[in-house]
Amino acid sequence: MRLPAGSIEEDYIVKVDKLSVYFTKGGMFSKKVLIKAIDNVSLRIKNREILGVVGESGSGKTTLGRTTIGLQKPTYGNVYLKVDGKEINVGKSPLKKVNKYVQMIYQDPYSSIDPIMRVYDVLAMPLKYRKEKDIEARIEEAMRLVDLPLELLENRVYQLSGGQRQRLSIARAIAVNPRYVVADEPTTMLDASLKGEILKIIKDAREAKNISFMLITHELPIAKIISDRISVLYLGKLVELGRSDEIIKNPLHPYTQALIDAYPTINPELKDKIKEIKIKPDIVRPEKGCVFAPRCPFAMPKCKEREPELKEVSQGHYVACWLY
Amino acid sequence: MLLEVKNLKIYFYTKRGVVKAVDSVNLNVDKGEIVGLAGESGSGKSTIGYGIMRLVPFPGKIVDGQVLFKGEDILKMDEDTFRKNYRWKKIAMVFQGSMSGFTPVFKIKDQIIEVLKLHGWNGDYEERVRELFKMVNMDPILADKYPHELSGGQKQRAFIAMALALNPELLIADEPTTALDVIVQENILNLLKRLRKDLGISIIFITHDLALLSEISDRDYILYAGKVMESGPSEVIFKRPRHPYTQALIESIATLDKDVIKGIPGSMPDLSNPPTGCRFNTRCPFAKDICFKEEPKMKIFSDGDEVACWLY
Amino acid sequence: MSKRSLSFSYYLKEFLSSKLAIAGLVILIILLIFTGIALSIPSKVYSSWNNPAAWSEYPEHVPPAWMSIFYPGKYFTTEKLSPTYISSMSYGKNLYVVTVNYQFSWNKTLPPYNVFFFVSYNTSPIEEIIYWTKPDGYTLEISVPSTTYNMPFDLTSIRTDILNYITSVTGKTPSLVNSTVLSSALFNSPKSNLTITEQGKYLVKIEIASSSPIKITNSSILLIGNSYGLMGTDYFGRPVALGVLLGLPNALEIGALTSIIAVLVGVFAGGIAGYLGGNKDSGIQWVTLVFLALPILPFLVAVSFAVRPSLTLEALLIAFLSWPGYAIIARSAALSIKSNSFVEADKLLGIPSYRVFFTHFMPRLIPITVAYMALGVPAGILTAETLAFLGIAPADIVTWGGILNSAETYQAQVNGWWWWVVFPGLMIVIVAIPFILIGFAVERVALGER
Repeated sequence: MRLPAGSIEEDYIVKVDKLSVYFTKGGMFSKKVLIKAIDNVSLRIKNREILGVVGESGSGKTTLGRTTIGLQKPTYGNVYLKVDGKEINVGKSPLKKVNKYVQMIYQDPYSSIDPIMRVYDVLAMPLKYRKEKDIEARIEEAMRLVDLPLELLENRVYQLSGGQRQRLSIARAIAVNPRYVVADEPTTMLDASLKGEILKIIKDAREAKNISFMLITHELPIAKIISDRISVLYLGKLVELGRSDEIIKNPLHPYTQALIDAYPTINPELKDKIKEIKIKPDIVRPEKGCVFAPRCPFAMPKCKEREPELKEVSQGHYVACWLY
Repeated sequence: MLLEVKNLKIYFYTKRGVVKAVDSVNLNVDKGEIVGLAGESGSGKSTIGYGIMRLVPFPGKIVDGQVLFKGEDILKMDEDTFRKNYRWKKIAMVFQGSMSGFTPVFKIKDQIIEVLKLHGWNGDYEERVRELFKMVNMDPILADKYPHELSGGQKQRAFIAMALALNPELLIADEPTTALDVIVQENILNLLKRLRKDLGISIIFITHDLALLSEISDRDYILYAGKVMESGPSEVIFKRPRHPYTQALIESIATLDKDVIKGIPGSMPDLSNPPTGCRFNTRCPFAKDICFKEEPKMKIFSDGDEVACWLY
Repeated sequence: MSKRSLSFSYYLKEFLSSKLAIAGLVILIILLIFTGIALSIPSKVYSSWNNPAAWSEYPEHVPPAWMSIFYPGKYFTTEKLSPTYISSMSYGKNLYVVTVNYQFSWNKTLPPYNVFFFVSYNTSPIEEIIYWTKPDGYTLEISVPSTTYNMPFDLTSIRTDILNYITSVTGKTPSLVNSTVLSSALFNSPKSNLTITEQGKYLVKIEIASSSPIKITNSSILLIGNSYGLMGTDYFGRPVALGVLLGLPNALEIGALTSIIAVLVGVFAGGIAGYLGGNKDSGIQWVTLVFLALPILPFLVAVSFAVRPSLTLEALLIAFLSWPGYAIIARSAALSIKSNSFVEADKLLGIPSYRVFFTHFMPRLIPITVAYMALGVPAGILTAETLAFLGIAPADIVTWGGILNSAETYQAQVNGWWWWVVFPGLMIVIVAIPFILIGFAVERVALGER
């Protein structure tokens, strides 16, 4: 299978190479079931890139993110991290080696930071254990980048609101100067009025500290706001990848098209119109062939037999579909 | 007017103080209308739904106000009368996370049949269940299954079927599509639109997702900190909103045609100690002196828009 | 920029600023001061506890002395009388008589519990007679038996003559002969059939006759009060206050040792098991279950047949068997803490395992730790006392449970000797209080003000 090359061969920070992550469910009382969370996915994240990973529940997007930073071991395939010219095999390295360069921002700000801690300690502890110097200066810089007032350092985390905690979560991740951060649904648990701030902070962090991001979300519009490129996952497979505006303007995969149709826009004129939805609502995983075939309005006999490969259809725009 | 809510006040008596979750809210729903109740968390929108169903959880209490259903104040009725004649018969509710609204030990159809029996409905139960499932566009075979055998979207539709069992005139849908995939979400939306068209049922659609609301509602109420900031026909609310909060909220919604979304700085005021004047005053970019002193009154405009703001 | 630190001193400062902590520490320090006092009491006092003879001059099972505040005439303490004058006469070369005279007023509504006579001299007398004159003028003549010459004696030693007097007044011989009955003969009016106390001036003359010259080396009379001390006395006349004081170090030791050791070991084992998971978790669980299966009392009985345990060993044995219960609770607490994503986030941030455990798990385990420690102290004391009851604990140690035990044996409740039960019982509660207060303060610091 051809790897999506991006622009320059050396210009990547994360390389996902034929990655599959399978889980087995069941045990003593039920038959063992194999769950293919990620199935033969390959992609790269470029330096200083924000890659949006969009998918619904069961798409495997969270598993993908966690595997790229070493919290999950690959079942087949490899994940590489390229820093300072060296390539580290994330799947085969101990976490100690990898976590120098990577970090994660979690979805739930209430359980990703221990509420009983002092805000100062939340930022200072990781720096202390990494034997960093200038801890005070680093803390101040992080707080400024996420737009939190320094007075809050004296408070305990439980005194902070959800939005403030999420910003603290970002501060904590970027204070240790990672090269690559996975943001797993960072805005999902926040109110509408707070989402914009968080996305802006992620973008600013990329600018200020040259960090690459994987932005995981189930909301395509959110991904579009700050992602350079967007990848669409469906049932563990990468079905489309391309520049953000390209994907939105010219979606190639039927699933992507269905998603774009389904996302509401501010359109009160449509209120009486019953939208035509071309795909069936229920997710069915087929035994073989294209994973999307059972729901696809354009399914051909070929689709039920063989899995389509990821193909570059136009400059930088890849899709896995027999229509192309 | 099918439903008139006048001056509804619901307060929660907690250890920290009295939280004024719903503070003097007026709203109307006409026959066959889909009315949206929009707001962020803490705005009081769900509480209003529970209030109309008289299901406000402890330590909340309906402190004041009237809820007139076809002219009758349902708040003043005794619990028995309301339960027998109104709750689920005339007004039904689909809750947030209805996916867990079924008990796992019985089949779906049995649970719906039980609801029918409890409310004194007589007739062919199996046929009725089949009818309801057709109404929500589901294969009746699925009714014969246990809740855990259905997907989230299927469970939600099944719950809507159960809510429709006794032909209610008003359906309150509290965040019916949260936690569901966007494609399933569109299906549910289409379903509700069809129900309004085919059955003439009125719907109160409670959600934080303004974009979603814009595609389905005829009129909307924008709630903030327990009060209605603005209300009016959807075209006005979404295209020409007058209240600063409505404008800011629309700016913060991420839709595919936007490249930038703006946030609203600050945070919701403490409802156990609400500020004097307009509740939005600390976060409003247009706040004047009077906004901190007096609460603005609702002003009605010719295009049907009603705004509570000192700018007007 | 103010100085901020991750260190212990910050948390210590917060702890000391809490009123609960100060209150708890104050009470604890007071208890420790008393423990120090108790430990400085000479050991012969400790050993005399089990010797009834040492307490003969003390009134038996009487209420605390401060009861006289509530019932002024009814309760009184021991009064010591010195002789008003001593006269000596000689009759020829072979008869010498010395008279020791006492005079006192009695204005209480009850007679003394007992009367002790201290008369010591340097010869062997021929005769010793007490002349007891009541306020109404009547004088009793009581002869002191020769067996008690030159020794302290009380009313029971001279009961023969007193009993005769009682019979002559009331017409019957008392069925019960104790100091109270005898004392009532000396202090109550015959008119009332010896039921109502005569108030007024009493004269006591002790006449000693000998063939050689007599020199009195010591003389005094003790009118034993019917109330004593801060907490009254027990069946043997032992001051309850002394028992409480002597028992304090033992109580603290047993309570603290069992409770602290059991809880710390249990919570640590369970907490680590929950935190580590996997094989190490299963291993610790297995060990826990083995210990849990052992029944405490039979096991301790068996052990005591082999080894006679000291207090410390007994405390350790009880702790040894009590820790599994805490381990189970701590393990499920640890598992629920582990389910938070901040645990994984910290690992990713490079924070070492032990630090993760101390930062996130320990503070959350502290509330149950401290709570169980506080509850464990009185529980440990009572367990030890159950063992004492079964004859396992070291028998010659003073413990509050032991005091309660003998109160039960001598039916204190039935007899209305509330002080014997209330004060030791109260102490068990009081010892728990500082732990509870300190525990709340620690919890507040660990988890923050809510």
